[in-house]
Amino acid sequence: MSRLFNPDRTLKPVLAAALMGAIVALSLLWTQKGIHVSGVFSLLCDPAAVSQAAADNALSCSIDSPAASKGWIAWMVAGIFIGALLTSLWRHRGLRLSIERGHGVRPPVRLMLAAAGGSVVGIGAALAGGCTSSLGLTGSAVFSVAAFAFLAVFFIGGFAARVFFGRFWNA
Amino acid sequence: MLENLSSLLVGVLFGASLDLAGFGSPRKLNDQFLLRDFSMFKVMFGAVALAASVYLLMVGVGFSPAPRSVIPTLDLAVLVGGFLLGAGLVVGGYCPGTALAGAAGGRFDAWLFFAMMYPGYRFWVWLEPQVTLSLHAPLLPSHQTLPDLLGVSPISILIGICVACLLGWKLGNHLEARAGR
Repeated sequence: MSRLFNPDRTLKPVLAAALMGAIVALSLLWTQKGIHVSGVFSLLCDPAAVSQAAADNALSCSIDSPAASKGWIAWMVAGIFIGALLTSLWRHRGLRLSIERGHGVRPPVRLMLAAAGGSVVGIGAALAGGCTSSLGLTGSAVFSVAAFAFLAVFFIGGFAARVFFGRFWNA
Repeated sequence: MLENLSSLLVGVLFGASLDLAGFGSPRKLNDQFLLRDFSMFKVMFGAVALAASVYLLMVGVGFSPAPRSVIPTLDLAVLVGGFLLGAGLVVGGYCPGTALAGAAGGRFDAWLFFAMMYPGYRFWVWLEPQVTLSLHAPLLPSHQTLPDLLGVSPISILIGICVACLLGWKLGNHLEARAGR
């Protein structure tokens, strides 16, 4: 057991990478689609109010396309939640309610940062037409130039934000 | 219905993999940017290398390749959006998928993060038609891949990805040891 799992019952990175990679390949080969999360918000957009979309980019979950044809994204998002819930229940032997934060960071500050970060990520996902799972992970697996460029600027953005916000994650 | 059920199943497996990798924890994700824990790099790029290997192999033995439209097109919006996603991860602690995993683990901050993504998403959808930025003009031909761009075989690119992944893995181990992990 300990050769496969860390003390907190998370998988060793090599096994987690193998599992995640196999699932991405399964998604591409079986469903013929990538893994999508942020695209679920496009289901809530009013197509008539939107004129701009990357119409030639299927990974973008084009906000001009009919919501009815994208219902599978809601199922995938529900599945991601269920899968994570099941393994979380197994790992923790129950559900713990918490606010995870860095050392010395008060819960209201943490929640304010979570709200601000969520909004920024929402803008970024709408702009990029996808998120880390769709553009980064799935796109890279099919050698997309855009996906590797996305991952490069994703890490640059993270390290840039770390200059000021890294202190909120001190151990 | 089959499309929805297959998406649900892939989602269940992906959600489990995110949680089992420990990616429901914003502290673990941010330890990557503090150069203390390279799990995010290792898992993400290891998964890309393995997924690409399996995908190439299976297509090689006769499975149908995913449609070309699955390959995103490079434009300025992808670059600016990617930067904001990285920055937002450090500010808020999650990206969209890991926020779902965090929320499933009972983290209230992850619920709030995910809920606040919608106003952000909606804000850009409202703003974009009103500004005169042409962020969606392709910077390269549509759906371009690295083999197309560089004029080499997919196997060569795969080997390059695996080598880069191994080097990054070694560097990560070195920096983790230096940080006392």
